[in-house]
Amino acid sequence: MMEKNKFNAVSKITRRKDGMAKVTGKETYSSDVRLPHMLYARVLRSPYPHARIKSIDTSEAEKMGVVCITYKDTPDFKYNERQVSIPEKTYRDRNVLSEKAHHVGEGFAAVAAKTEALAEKAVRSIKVDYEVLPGVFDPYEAMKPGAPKVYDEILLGENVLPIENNIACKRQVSEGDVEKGFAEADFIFEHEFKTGRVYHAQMETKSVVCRPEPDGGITVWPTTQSIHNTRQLLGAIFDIPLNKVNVHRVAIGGAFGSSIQMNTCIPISVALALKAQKPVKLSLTREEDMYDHCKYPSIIHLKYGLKKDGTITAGEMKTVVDIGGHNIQAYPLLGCMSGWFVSLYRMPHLNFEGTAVYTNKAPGCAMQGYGNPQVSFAVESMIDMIAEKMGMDAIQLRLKNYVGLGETFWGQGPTVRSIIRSCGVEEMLLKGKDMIEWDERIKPEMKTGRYRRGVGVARGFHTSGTGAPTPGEVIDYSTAMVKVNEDGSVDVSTALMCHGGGTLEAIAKIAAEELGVPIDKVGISPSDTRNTGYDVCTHATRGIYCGGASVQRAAKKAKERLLEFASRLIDVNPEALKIYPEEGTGQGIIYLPGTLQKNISVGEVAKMAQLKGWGTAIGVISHRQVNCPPCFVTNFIEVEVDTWTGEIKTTRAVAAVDCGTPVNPDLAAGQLEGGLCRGIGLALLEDTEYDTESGELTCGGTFVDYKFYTPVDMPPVEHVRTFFATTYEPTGPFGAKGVGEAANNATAAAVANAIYNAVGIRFAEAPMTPEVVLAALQKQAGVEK
Amino acid sequence: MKMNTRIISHEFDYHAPDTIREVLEMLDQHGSDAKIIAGGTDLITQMKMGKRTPSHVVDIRKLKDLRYYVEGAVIKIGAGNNFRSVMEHFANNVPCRGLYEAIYSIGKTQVLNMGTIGGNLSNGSPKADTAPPLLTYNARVKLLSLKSERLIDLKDLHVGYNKTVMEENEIMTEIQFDALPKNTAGAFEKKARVGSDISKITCAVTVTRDNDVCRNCNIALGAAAPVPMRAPVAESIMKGRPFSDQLLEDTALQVGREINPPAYGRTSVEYRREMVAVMFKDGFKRAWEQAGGDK
Repeated sequence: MMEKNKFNAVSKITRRKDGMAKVTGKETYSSDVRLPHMLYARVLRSPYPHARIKSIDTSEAEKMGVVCITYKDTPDFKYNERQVSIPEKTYRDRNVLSEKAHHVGEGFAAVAAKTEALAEKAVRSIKVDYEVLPGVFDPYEAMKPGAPKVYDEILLGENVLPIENNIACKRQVSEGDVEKGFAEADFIFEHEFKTGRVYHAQMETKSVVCRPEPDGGITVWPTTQSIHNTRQLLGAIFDIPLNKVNVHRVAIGGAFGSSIQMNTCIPISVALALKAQKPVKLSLTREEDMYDHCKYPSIIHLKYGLKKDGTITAGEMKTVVDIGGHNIQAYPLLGCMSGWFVSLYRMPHLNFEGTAVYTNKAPGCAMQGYGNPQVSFAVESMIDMIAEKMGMDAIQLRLKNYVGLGETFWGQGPTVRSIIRSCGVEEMLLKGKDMIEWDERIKPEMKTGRYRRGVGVARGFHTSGTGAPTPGEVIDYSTAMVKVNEDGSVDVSTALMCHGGGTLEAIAKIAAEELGVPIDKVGISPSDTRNTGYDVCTHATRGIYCGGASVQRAAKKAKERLLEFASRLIDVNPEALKIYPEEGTGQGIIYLPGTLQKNISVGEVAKMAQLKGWGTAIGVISHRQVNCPPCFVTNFIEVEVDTWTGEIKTTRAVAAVDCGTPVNPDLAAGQLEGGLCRGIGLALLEDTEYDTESGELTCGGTFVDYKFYTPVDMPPVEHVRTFFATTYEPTGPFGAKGVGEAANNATAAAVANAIYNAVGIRFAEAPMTPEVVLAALQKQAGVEK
Repeated sequence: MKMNTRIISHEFDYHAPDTIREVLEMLDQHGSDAKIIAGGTDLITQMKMGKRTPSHVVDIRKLKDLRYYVEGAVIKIGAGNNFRSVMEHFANNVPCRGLYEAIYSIGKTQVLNMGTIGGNLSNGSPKADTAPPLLTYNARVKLLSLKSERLIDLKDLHVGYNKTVMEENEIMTEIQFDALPKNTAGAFEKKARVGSDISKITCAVTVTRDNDVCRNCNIALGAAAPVPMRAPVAESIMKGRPFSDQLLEDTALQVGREINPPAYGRTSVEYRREMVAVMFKDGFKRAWEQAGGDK
């Protein structure tokens, strides 16, 4: 095992390679791509949540000289925009353009014009005769017999799947005998928890440019987290061979999971471009984007059985998820939710039942944590409630029952399991507890006055990727190419994405570390699907752990070749040679340990290899990780409740993560702060509500009325503290695991637990708005007004 | 979907005249086809959403003649001053603290730099953050057209939800009020969802103190009715009486009774009613403290 302080590149704080371009506005995002003769597209979207088109008339639009397509012109191909699951677990319910609206904002027709304003005008001139159908907006209403049917049938893989009572899919998982487990318990606890349909609110709305090629192919510059899945799906929908579908990686203005899939605007622009035979750009407006996706909401019913000594004997979770108008990834979601539940605390006997239900709302999709913030909100609130009832310290109860070292972790539901080999849970709880002065906490009933502070804790984790020893229901591998250039610099080529968190920065460090060259010498190549091997997607907190592992292995291959060349030049067995980055020359220096004579720079070797015709030191690897280690997280949060107004401020926070070796320590700390911000938003503020008459978002789809927390709403900078557990993951690149999604998984529960400690009221439903909090405070006896 | 907030799909002529006179001429000529743009923080959004479709947009942002301050017995503020400028101008002005705090609450740098005080009032919104403090100063606004100039009380400007008495050919050129008496201080309280936000409800208090006697307590509220409003009955409870906690409670209760909030908006009627009482007390206490008095 390598010691931390021996790293040359990994764990160092460096200036981001893409930093200058981003802060000076020179980075190219999808919406910045401009091509000669490019047209701009707009989409005709349903004003109704549930409606069928009786007739559509585009003649007025066509008179304006625009290119027009409707659902009649697009391929008769049902697709699911997410291509991470294996085909037989992929639920397909959409078309490029639809003749039926399943939610407000579903696209029926589209136009491409010389300006966006003309396209907008043209789209408004399209006449549609709708058959307006009754909508359904509540999952329990939707499951009742006689409820409006969002779908009659869809496809599961290649097979027709009839939809009964709007139930999109169900999952049940059990181990042991849950009834026996509850019978063995001294105490039974039950409670129900809810979280809202939070909008991703990524900075950049979804966007795409598609250029049709003379050979019948297409080139695409999309907002996406997976260029290869985008390519494959476009090839299938439009029946174009993959060697003629090229998808470029362009910088993405944030994602939070919203672009895991091939976004629905992409095939629309492709269809328009193919018809127009000109490049077409389609950039969603903010309100279109807000009608396109949201976090999966949750209704979670929890039941735990415990012995008097605090040992959990059994646990049961039943959840209903309102997935909205499309089933993007509800089946794996339910599996993952079972996994998050199972992997938080040991339960000898357990049962999980999940039901995903269609409604006429914007479709839910993965968002930072993929069901984990929802499950952790329920479980971590519940653990506090249990500790309170049993008179145990909330931290001790956690330490007694958490799933840790040597135990089984379900990284992606029941089919993706691995053994935990690194674990900083105890370290984080104990150190964080001191930092927040946990032992100074007093009970809520001892607090008086208008403003009351309380401290709460919650823990959690996320998976690092979805790798496992055997193939499961989800695909997970990455491909990387690393080559040493003739001046000693290095090119790294992968299809991994950076969503802003620094994934590619980490990739460069991992390559530099493995090769022994200075980080400045490593460049990340632009990538597209023709020039990179397959990478499933940068999702599931897998960028560093899975993508980084492939890069490390590719770099190792390139290094072996390089050292073999060097051995010819300096007459030393290659296996005896090592490389270190020399600051003075800025070169990697190949040396024989123990002697100063046999030094030669990486650049010299690469150049000589070229001149002598030996070849390039290059490594290409497709690699699947056979584990998915949990990156554990712990949050301590202090809140201040204004008992006169119900307003809640977060005043202090300690956020810790066990990410193994932090490859980008500053960016990882930044992720923790960002996770806090989103998690506090989930707890206190964010939801998308619907007007059940019109089926529209009550916020109108804009940031005027969809609010999320920003730095001004966070605790003061000096009161947000972060730290890393001192662990090393033996299966990760240089000991690294993930961070990204873990960062927000524990936060909402920590906030709820802090509120309880402040005022003695348990809020089990998020968001806990001032209106809700004030009403609860007024109900509670003894609050002075 | 009926709207977008990015694309202005109708065509219009953009004018940027050099003088106020030219602006007024254009308004006279084009009538309801023309719309004034100052900072554009309201108009541009309305145009993108298709709520307004003017054929002529007349930009007054470059008119220096609308950006001035006059101090003295009457304080005058050019209507073209942007939020940031007004906020900075009143930063250390204790009597006008409410106006400073109101603009500060808008929060976002971009809006502070673009939005103007005249635009904020002319737009007619009951949520205009600058209206409540100015109402407590008994402010007046100057409305100018090619043929007339009139000075009206700010309280008479707003006549309904997003409606003002301004004619199509008028622009607001100035906001003015009599210098506030000594021993006066103010405060602005806002309830909103996040730090930079449109209000759920706002309350401005401006207090003049004579030792322990409250000589004057002017109270104004935003988003509490279809128009920004004063709370005269509540004010009369406090006026001329020695301060006491009971008096503060009674006044606060009355403020809650006086508001007439619509059932829609960014919070419930009940919450607004409860909040104004708390906000009034919070604002009053801060203002009372600052007003000092000749002890």
